[in-house]
Amino acid sequence: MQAHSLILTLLLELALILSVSRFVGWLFGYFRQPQVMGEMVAGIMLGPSVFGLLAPSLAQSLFPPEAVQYLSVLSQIGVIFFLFLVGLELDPKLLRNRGHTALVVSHASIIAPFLLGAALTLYLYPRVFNDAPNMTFTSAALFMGAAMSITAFPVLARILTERNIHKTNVGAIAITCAAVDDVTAWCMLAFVVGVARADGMMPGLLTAGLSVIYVTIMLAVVRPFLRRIEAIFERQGRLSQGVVALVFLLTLLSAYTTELIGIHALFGAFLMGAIMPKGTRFVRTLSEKLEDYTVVLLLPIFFAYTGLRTQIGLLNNTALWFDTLLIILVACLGKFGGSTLAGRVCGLGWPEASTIGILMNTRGLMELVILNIGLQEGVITPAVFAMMVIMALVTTAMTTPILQWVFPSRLPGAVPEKPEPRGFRVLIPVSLPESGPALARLANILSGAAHDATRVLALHLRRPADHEAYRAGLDEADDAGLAPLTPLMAEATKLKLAVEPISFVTSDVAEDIAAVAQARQVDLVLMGFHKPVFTKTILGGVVHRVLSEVQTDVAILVDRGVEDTRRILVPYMGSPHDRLALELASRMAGSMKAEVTVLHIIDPAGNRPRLGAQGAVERVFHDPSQPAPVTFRVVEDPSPVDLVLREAPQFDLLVVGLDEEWGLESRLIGLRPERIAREHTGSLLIVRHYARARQAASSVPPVTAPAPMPRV
Amino acid sequence: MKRATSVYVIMLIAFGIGLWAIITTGSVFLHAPHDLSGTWVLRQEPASAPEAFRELNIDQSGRFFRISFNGQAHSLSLESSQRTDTGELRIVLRGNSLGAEFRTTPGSYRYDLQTSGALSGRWLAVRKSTAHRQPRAPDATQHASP
Repeated sequence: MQAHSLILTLLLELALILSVSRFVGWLFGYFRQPQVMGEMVAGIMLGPSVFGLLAPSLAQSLFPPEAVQYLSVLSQIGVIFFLFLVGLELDPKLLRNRGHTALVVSHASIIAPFLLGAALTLYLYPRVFNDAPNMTFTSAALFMGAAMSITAFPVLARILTERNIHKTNVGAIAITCAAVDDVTAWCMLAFVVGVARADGMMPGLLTAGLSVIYVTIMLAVVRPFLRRIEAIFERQGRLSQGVVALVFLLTLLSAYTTELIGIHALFGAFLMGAIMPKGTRFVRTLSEKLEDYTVVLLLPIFFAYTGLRTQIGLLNNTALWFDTLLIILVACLGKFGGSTLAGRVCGLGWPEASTIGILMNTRGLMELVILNIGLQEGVITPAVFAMMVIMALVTTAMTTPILQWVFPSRLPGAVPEKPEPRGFRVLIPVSLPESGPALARLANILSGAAHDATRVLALHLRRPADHEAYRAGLDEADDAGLAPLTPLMAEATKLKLAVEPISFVTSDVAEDIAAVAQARQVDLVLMGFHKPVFTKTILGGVVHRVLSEVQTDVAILVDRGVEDTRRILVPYMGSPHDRLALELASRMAGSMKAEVTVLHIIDPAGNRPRLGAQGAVERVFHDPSQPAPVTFRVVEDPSPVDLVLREAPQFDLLVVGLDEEWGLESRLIGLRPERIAREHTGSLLIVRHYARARQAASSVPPVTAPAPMPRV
Repeated sequence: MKRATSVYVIMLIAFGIGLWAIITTGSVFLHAPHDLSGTWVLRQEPASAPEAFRELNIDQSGRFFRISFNGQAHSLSLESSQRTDTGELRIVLRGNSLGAEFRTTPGSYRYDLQTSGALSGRWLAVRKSTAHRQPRAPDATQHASP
């Protein structure tokens, strides 16, 4: 293949790998599976097991052996830097001071699967291993044991944070165990590779001796040197390219040394990351510099390369599929059984102990790294590689659904801190901090005269941090918390409005807003407006899902600089949402002594029935404790929207109910509010009534008796 | 002693003994099938045959084989593997579309191969490269040359 043609092929391969990886990763994320799991599957899809099977000649032309060699090199470099990142993320605090339970469970979660994996080799060795130089029984048994005892710490930590159980006792134990497993796994790997490569006792002892010297030098010489580099960073206040180059150089040298010693390059990269100064801005900046190229570009290449080596077609008879099933069973039994029993022995209840067992059974990407080394070192055969890849996928995929069944996710803030009196409850989900003050002001106005009985909950939901492949996201989950609610809380303090702040990580914002609203029995969800980027409608995305899913009233504030609400306009067309608009306007009027104008619009052609508007206004504004000046106007106009747009500039706030046909694809909030929201230049509040919304489409009878509407 | 500590100590002892027992048992009593994986160069016997040379690739996972040549892959499994009184190793592979019988003597890198089915004939087979890290055979083409 000519150089020009090779580069073209390689570029096409990379583009294909990147796009398939991102798409399948997104798809898995959509179905609540770890994104990294989707990327692993994408890699397999590009290999001979799927793409090669469906379009063999196209696969051959896209992935010719000459180009695959380059993928192999890129993938190796990617995994070296990935392991450096994994080491960088390793938090030594997690390995210390976690008590007996964590220690016993973590070691049980290694020992049990290790022993079972080694024992399984007694059955598998005469069947699916070869009598090859590196594939002795000892190497095979140690490798199978090590591969069975892997836990993907980042994936596990991500699952915990997404389910908001990382701060529970179970979560803390699981995180500690996974961190211990992580360190142990790479040390075991170094040991197994050393055993596999060593040709006799003396070379083995030499490898062990050199390894001890290497680790000592890393701890005694390189680590203090890295602290000095960190000091340079702190002094300069930025990470210069020279410092980055130096760290990369040290990483490559460390990987080179361990490869030379005979314990594999990956161990060197991992150790280099592990001895970096922890919890510092230096490390965070460094990892940010490195992670995008490594995780977004190089890691998918590793997955694709793994996929190209995974030949599920080799498992072409029932005996081999039986062996695969056996491997999966033993893997689950070892990890799940070992951790669960150890947890029980240490005094945890069955649900907690089995939750830890389920979490520890997550193998993810780390398993693929180890399996690739096994295949590359000739310790396992291609069929065993394929079986173990399937096992890695199955055990990772089963974690989330089984966990959901055994240990449902927690919604922090779903249970009140202390029993609260029944009053008007408002939930304010805040995405953008700058929208907080206006929402606080509006909540304050809506609380009406019953200010003290009003309970306001401010909710900030955080998306999980990217790159679950290596980053646990624990620091993000803990630190980023309530900061976006600060402007809202400050405004609330100014207004003497009591607000309870709630924040947690979510994978589905709309669903969790609905869940908190239901759990806290709120009367109104009040949120800001975010114009979606990709749709034409003015309200869409999360806002539209909240409108659809929340089982209580919802009000969306389109804030265009509302400061003082003295004049409120409510267009009334008779829908249940319009009645809610009246109620909210009445609350605001009672609180602010604002003047409310209800504009009842009638079709002059007489096609639109009269809707009992006057009665509705009288009922809503009847409360003698909240006297509010209200003007009721009946106007005949063939175009209600144009009329509202003409009248609206005279008012501080427009309160509009959704159309009854809202939710259709072309008119997410209904044609009328949609156009008003788009064309009106002032602030408006779009409201949706829950209880009557259900009836609206089917059972709200039109008021058929035409009665003259006197002006109030 | 606390319960957790006792469990921990028992666990470590069990691990040590268990792993030792497994590795000893496996190393002494178990043997994996003879490794035939890699790329092979075949010279037809007798050497004057019209189709003198051929190359085939063998993917082996223990008792299960996939032999590829001419863009076709054939699945086979190990039927028997025996050593004769003279020390000769005889390996018989059987599949739906292909059968193969390898014979070799201890220490030799040459194999006599007899195939039937999709590829039939008698061949002198030398491994050109192995799928594993350490190649066993010297330059295969040199030895397979007539």
